[in-house]
Amino acid sequence: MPFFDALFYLMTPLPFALVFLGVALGIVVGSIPGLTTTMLITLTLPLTFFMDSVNAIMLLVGMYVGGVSGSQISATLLRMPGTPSSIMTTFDGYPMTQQGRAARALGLGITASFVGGMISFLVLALLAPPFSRLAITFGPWEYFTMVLMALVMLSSLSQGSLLKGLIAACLGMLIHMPGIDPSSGTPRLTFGVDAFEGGLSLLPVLIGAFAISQIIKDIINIDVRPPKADLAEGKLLLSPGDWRRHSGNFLRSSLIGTWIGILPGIGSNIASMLSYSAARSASKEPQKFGTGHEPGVVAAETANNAAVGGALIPLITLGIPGSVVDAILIGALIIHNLEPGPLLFINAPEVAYGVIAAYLVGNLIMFAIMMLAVRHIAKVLYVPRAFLLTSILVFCVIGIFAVGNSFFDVWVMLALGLLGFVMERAKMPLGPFVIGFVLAPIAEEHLRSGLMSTGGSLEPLFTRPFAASFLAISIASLCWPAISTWLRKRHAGGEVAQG
Amino acid sequence: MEKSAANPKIELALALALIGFSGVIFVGAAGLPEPRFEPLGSAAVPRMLAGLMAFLSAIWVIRLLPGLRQAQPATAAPRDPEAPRQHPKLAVAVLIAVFAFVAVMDFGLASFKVAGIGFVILCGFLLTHRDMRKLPWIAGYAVVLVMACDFAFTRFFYINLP
Repeated sequence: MPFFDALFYLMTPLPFALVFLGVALGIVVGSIPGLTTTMLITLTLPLTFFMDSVNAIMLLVGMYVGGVSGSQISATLLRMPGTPSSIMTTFDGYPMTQQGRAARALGLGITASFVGGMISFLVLALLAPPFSRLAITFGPWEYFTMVLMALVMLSSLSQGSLLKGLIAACLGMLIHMPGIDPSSGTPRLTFGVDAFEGGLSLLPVLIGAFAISQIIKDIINIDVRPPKADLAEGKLLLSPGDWRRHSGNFLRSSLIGTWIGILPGIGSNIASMLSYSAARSASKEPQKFGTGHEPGVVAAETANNAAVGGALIPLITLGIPGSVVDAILIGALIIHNLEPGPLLFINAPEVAYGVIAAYLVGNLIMFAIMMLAVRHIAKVLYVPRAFLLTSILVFCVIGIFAVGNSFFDVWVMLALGLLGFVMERAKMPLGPFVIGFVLAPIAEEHLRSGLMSTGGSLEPLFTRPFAASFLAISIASLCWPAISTWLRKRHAGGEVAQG
Repeated sequence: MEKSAANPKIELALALALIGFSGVIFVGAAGLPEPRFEPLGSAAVPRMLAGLMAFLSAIWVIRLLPGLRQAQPATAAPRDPEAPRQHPKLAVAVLIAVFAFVAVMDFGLASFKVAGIGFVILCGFLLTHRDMRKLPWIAGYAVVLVMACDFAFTRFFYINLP
């Protein structure tokens, strides 16, 4: 059984230490508002160059699990979510802190994160292998339409503006175009600059777009100081009665989170929103949500962790990212000369099953670290920003230089940092931009090879069932914002007429 | 229509810049060879993407224009005395420091150790709002950080830093 092989390997000292380190760093960085899991994983990528591919991926998966869980600390204690996935946790977690129940809120959140992670691990372990066998039958048209679907779905759900999301996706794909054309081998869009012939590497684009732009924002708001929260009182562990009371919520939120995670392009923040509203709809006391109601914390934290496991399914079976962090993990696989997608289970089963095993062990480690040390971890919220931001800037510059031994990449990173900052000021989402950059070569390669195989005909888009389904979902995602607005207006008009 | 909380002038500038960028891509793609062995060729995808981006950006500009025409001159809202101040000039200063740090190493004017220590001291000094009492701490931290990075990269990862 390759999964158990991967699990036994993970139990050896080095991989276990790396997953432990990844989870611990993820929790710490995820808990500091302004530092994101995306930033941590992106900054770690250059260091994984020097590691074995399985160990590198296990370390990054550990960071992913730790980051999503750690962000609840600042969301609960300060009403400042460490990552967007914990926005819903602030609604009830922070009121609980104000009521002197901070430890209780964190205990609920940690347990919910653990349960969500374990249930989505089961789905991941059961679904990923058959999914990859199905995906092996996919041809270029299925892959092209799948990339299209991921980009459209991500654009339509990011920050509420489909138009800006689509523009960001186009820009990300265009940024990937300069370099040697993969089919003809001739230079393309290099404008006579030799450095462009190698194209823009993934790391400078990622670190620029996420880390540098975030640092600029953090410097502008450097005077924002977190208020002190008291964590000394209260128990973290849940009683058997608590488990019974929240069992339905745990299960429902886990399934919602996992399902949302599987859908390409939808992150754990949407999962926690949907799970929170489902919990409110199912509650006998919906008016209590938002006032420090325990099921609100449980729903949000269960779903956002479950979404991580769900998002790993399309990542390792199809090579399609479910979120920005997944796009970076795909980048990590590419950097280690691995081909993300269904062949990963055949060509590098130790990596594919290593991801699943690391997700399981990462969740166990996360639960242990958070339960034992959350009171101490909470102190990192108050680390002086001047030292932190300066250090990150130094790491960004030398990390990028070290990867390619080239200052061109460093300049690209700084330019992309400025672009990312301007995009965020214009409320243009960075997610579709980065995922567009990662998926552009896959989309182009499959479109061109598909057209070569059919002599230029687009007919398979409509005749191959999976390709046609993915295309239909893409079109539906494009039309949905307009349809939902129309339905809302009609509903509002009906209410006015009745009134 | 989508409502946006962003500054419409920044949005307009970005949309126009993206239209200009699409134009640059079109010019670049015009010089690429025609397809010979396949239906699309190397210029088709960049052209399609640039065309789509220019079209969508034009829609964005059209949506922004009414809002810009109606926009009143901004009146300074009374600032909450307890709200933390924003520091855009500080961000610009740090960015200039980063560009200088990279340029100094790229043009071979200083090694990583020298440029790095100088950068960390300058950056830390700026980010602590030029507090002279913290300067010794920042200088000590700069030496430790840069020497540790240099040791890790050159001895551990076998990379020659500038």
